[in-house]
Amino acid sequence: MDLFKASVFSLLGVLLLFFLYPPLLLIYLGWGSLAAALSTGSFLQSLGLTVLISTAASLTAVILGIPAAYVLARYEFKLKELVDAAMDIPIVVPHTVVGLMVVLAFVAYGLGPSLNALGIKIVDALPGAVIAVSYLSATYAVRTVESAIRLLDPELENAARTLGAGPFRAFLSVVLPNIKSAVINGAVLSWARSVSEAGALLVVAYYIVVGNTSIYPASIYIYQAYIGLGLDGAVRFSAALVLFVLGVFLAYRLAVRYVGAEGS
Amino acid sequence: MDNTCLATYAALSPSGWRGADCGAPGLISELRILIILKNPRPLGPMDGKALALGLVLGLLVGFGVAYMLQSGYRPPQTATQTLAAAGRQQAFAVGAAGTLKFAFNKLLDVYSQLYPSVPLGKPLYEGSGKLAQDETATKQFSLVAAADTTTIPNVLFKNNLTDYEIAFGLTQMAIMVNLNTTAGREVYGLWQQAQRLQPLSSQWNATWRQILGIIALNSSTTVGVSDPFTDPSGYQAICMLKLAGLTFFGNSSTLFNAIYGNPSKYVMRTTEVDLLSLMAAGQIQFVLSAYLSNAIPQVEEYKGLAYITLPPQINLGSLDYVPYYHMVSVSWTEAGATKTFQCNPVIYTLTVPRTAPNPQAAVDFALLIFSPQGRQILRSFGIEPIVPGVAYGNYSDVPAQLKPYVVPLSQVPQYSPAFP
Repeated sequence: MDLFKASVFSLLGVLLLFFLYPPLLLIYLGWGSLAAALSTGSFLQSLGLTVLISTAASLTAVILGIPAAYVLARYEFKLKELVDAAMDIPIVVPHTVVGLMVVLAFVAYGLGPSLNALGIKIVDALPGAVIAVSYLSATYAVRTVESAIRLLDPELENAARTLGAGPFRAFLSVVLPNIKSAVINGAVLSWARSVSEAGALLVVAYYIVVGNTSIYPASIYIYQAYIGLGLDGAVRFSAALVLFVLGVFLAYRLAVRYVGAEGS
Repeated sequence: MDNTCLATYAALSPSGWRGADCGAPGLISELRILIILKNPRPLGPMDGKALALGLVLGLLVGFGVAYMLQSGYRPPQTATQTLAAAGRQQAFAVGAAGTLKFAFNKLLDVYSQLYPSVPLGKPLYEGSGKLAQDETATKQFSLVAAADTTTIPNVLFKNNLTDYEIAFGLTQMAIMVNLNTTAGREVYGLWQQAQRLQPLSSQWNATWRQILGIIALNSSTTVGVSDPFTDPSGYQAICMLKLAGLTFFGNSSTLFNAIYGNPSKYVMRTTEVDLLSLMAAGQIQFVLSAYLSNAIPQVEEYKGLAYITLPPQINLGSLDYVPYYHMVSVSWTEAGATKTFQCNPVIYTLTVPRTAPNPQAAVDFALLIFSPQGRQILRSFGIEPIVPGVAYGNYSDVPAQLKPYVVPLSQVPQYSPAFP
């Protein structure tokens, strides 16, 4: 075996260890108290709320992200580089700052007064939470789908157009079926990014008021458990959340394999 | 491209590209790239061995690094290196309650002038609960200072990081007021009136009822509070509200229920500092989880912000009222657990953890706190120094240099109710 191969595989081993050791240790330490975590009503509410926020953010990211990705992949226009760079802004801005930006743009200034007049609550409300996590997660969907569209030969669409399909039909019947794996991938990445969000939610939606109850997003719930109960208290909820997310990822892998098999 | 080729090309499955020679060199190249991208070469037997070797090597490297980190591994040093290291000091790192930020930064300025050779680590100011948990996990602080008497015993005693805490200062609850709002200006005006009235007179009582009514009972106002589960000022705000209810409305639940029984009446965050941005955005008119020690500097920092001080019966700032404060308590459920807090004066305590880097620097800093200059600095930030300091826990473990300025709790029994 050559030295290069030995080196890169060694580094792969280190990275795998780096990725796998912390979550496996967490699950190992929290395994005994998983049942307690999953029988805590407030935690299940918090998990449900997180799934709701993340799914809404993921759908938003996909619905807005596919057209954006198509434009970036297929068209040349003035200031394209600027638009392209703007897509990465959510990744480079610290998440607590994103929270503050949402408060400024949708509460204090800009759309704030109009939303307030319409009775749409942002702080500690579902719309605020979805806006904050959508802002932070949409880039992942845009970039994933954009890469897939770039790999798809435009001649496919041209062929469909020469056969009489309009641009919408060509997009829906030629482009979309060929990028469906990427769309699912982008949706799941956005979803996962949303589940893990805490910084922006600490500012915008520390909890969501549902009726007369305050429900905390899972990331904040675990943060509170860490501060209020200590490391041991937080481990059980963290292990439950990690297992849940890993379960969703496993289901996603199976779904992608199924979609791939269906498409071939 | 001919039609056959186009058909072949169009039929390509998105999940399994197959090569198609259409006689168009450009397209073929592109297809080859796609084929490579979509179907990377499968791992051969040698690659499997390489992966296994890589994993084993990675595991060995990882465990080696983990072992060295855990066992405090130090590489062998030469005599010259050892001598050079002896002249270096570990950085002095302060971890303190967020509300001590301004006073401690001033004290650290003085400290760095007195001890220029001591390297100063960046001080960390955050909620006392998080601070104590962080210290338990990282053991990074030379000195830990909390904003109540229970956090250090509950967390650091329990984790064997220390067995004493020294009470060094007393502050009081205050209410931050947003003067950019009508309700804020109204409350501030009434508070100014109350300052001119005879305490406990009927007019004084009526004015305070009016103030508290606007803050708690008026449905159009929103208050900011910190989380009782994560920050002492969170439960202390509830203590203050219950005492205010008891004092001015004859029922400790009146004001508490009006706020905490209605989620749209309050906005909660981890610490009261986090609430100021929401106050600036006009979301809240009042912050209840404020200390005078923080309110004084923050009013200078934020435009349109003011604070109102509270009567000693309800402000948790008087040791004379401890039995009265004990007439109420707080129970709060979060993260599947219920915590009960006794209402006590807002006392700042400090300790030097057993694992403290540069513990001598921490002792010198504590001596500065008890010095006349240190006491003056504390007073300028709304903290009344406790002199001599009161040690709770194991007095014999209090550093010898501090003992002349600190007495054990047993010598000042009147302070006992304020400790756990």
